[in-house]
Amino acid sequence: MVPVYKKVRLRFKKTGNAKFISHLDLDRTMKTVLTRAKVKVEHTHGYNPRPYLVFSLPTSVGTESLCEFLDIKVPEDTDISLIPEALNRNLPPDIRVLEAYIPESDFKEIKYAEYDITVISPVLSEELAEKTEALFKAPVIIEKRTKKTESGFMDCDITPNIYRLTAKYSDGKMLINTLVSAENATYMNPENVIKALDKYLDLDLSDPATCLYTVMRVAVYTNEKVNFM
Amino acid sequence: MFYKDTLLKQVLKPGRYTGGEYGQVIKDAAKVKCRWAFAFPDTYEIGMSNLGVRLLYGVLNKDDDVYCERVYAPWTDMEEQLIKYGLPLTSIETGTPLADFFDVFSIGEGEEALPEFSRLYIKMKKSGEYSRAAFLHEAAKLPGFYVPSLYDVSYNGDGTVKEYKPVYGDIPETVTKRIIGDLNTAYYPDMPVMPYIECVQDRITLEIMRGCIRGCRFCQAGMIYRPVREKDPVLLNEQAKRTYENTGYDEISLCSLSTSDYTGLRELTDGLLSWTDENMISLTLPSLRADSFTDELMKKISSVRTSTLTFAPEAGTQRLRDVINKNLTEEEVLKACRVAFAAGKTAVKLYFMIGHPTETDEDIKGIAELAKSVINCFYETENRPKGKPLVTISVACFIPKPFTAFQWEGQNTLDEYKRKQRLLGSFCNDRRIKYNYHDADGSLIEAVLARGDRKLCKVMKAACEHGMRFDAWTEYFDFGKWMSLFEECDIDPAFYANRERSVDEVLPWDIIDCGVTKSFFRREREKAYKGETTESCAENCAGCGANKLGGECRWCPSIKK
Repeated sequence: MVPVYKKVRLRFKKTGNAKFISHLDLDRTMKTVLTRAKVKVEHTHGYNPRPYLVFSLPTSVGTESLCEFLDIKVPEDTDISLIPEALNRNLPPDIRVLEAYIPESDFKEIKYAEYDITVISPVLSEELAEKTEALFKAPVIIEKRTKKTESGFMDCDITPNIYRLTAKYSDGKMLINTLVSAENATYMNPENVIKALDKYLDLDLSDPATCLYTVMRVAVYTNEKVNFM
Repeated sequence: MFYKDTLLKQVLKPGRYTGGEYGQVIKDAAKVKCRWAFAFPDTYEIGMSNLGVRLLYGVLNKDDDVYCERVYAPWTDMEEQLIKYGLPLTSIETGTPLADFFDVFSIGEGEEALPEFSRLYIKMKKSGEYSRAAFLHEAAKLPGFYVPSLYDVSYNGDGTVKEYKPVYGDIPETVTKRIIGDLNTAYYPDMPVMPYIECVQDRITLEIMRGCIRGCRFCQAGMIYRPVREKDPVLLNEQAKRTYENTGYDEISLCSLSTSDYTGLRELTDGLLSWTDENMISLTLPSLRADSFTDELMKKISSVRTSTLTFAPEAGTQRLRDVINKNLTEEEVLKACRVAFAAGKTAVKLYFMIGHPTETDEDIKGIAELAKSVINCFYETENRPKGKPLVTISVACFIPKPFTAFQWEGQNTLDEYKRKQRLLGSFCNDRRIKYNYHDADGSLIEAVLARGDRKLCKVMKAACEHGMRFDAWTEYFDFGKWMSLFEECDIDPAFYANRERSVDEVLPWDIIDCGVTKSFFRREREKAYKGETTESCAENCAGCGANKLGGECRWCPSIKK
């Protein structure tokens, strides 16, 4: 008898050192974690069977996230309320599964992502925070990787894909909150904001003795600007 | 303040340095009595793949008083950053720096030896007897510990070793290798650290036996891991299952020097296949000898996933295979390939070496001819798959190694190796043969280091000071730099690599007793030159001497007094 599977969505967060796990490595980690936790999942039926795992929007290495999604397929009779705890027992502390549920939406419906970016540098000031906000009101040209040109790079204005950006200075830190496109064709990597600060405001953040920036994906939204679930 | 994150964002694969993996052991450093920084001289991905490191990390941390942390070589980009900001190299677990060089070598298998070393350290610390010098002196009395500073070396006028002399009367004149007597009761790492980033060996490595019953005369591993000890197949099956449940890996690789010589192979593979298939776990059996490769084994390894099959005839003609004591006939190689072709394979890989003692151009030609016979064998296989066959031949340069019958041999010169490589290339005029060969330059450097003595320490030091790193990685290997280092240090590489030693010369490694006797190596060398073979341990005891070390050996006759 062919077993019947149901699709289950896991919402998880990935913080701390886990931000340095690349997308491919996260995929590998999750595969072994599911086995350790004895969560049976459907495998692909090809020559090289592998568990059926589908992740939403990968983050780039170094970005933390409070809203990662992973779809798996489990046998119909699985009690999915037990899955988060079973997985968390087998996950490193920096990755936590927050909930498991039967999804009603598709990853394609994700249109926007919201990020909190925290910047630490000795040269910060209220004035710089104002300049930062103002910067993104005019075109901001960043060099992007592309297959379209011979050099492998092309200049792009990133502001059409930034829908909101606020910057506040407080207590030696600059806190940036931004809402950007998360759609396939116009996806905006939040690291571009850091690149723009370096290029236009001379804010070099490469010295570990004085500088730090952190990027955290705090929410993703659908077309209707409601939280994606 | 120092923001490590900022630094990690500027290096490749930061996951190499962050730690925090599932299975990592964290202890309170203030509460333990003995701390180890277990340093592996290569990158994280290589070190994490090493079964020995996994094993010793586990065995040391089993002891509550002892804390073993891991240290890996930083990649060159990270090293640059560490130097730029004046940061020390630290362990993965606690970020503690390490500073000094080696004082002592543990010779042989470490599962019992290293915990004894910890106990000695804790005991001397507690009683107040501890000083570096006193500790090293006591450590040298433990079986299997070699403290180089406690052995003086003198040299003859021609640069060869005159003698090794212990500094104290109460330490052994030679250091005898340690072995684990009964592998069934030995520690097995069933909960290894699970790396985030992809490592070279990302699977369960199940060690089924130590030692090898074959006596290939070029092979160091086949000698220094003697006597042959096997593990119980029922126990192995349980350990594999437990490790699978603890790790979630989807591949089990049986590990030994010659998997098909393991007497419990059928029972073990049957046991494993009773639960691996349904869990989508693939089974890999590396180190299979062609003469034992059967339909049954082929089916077992191909039940979930399969990769290319590799056999190692090592030499192209029967005469030379007898010289190196490979004990493998051409018909056996072809039979194994037929099994593979009948099972749907179109590609096989064959390993060879050039530069064996007594080798002639006929033997070189023999390599290409054997490859051609394999191609013909494909077309003669009735139920072969569609398409063209591909035979890959990988040809390495022979490097004479200590503790082998060929430890006295001179290596072929670079010119000779290059000539032989070109010659073989000229015979490989068939597009169904893919000819790969190793860089001869690297083999020369390896040959120098493999049979070096303490005079080479200054070369190593100079190499380090010149910023040479990761020389085993092709992108960093620079032959010219090595040659100029040898010149700078007044070292003649030919003295170490190409010189044939006289059989009564004191060899730098005579300080170590690996169990197998020098007289056995001498006998084997004489037989090699006569083209005579030696039977495997399973057929007849050749009297290598390793049984004096004891152990639950399947094949060894009782210990000779």
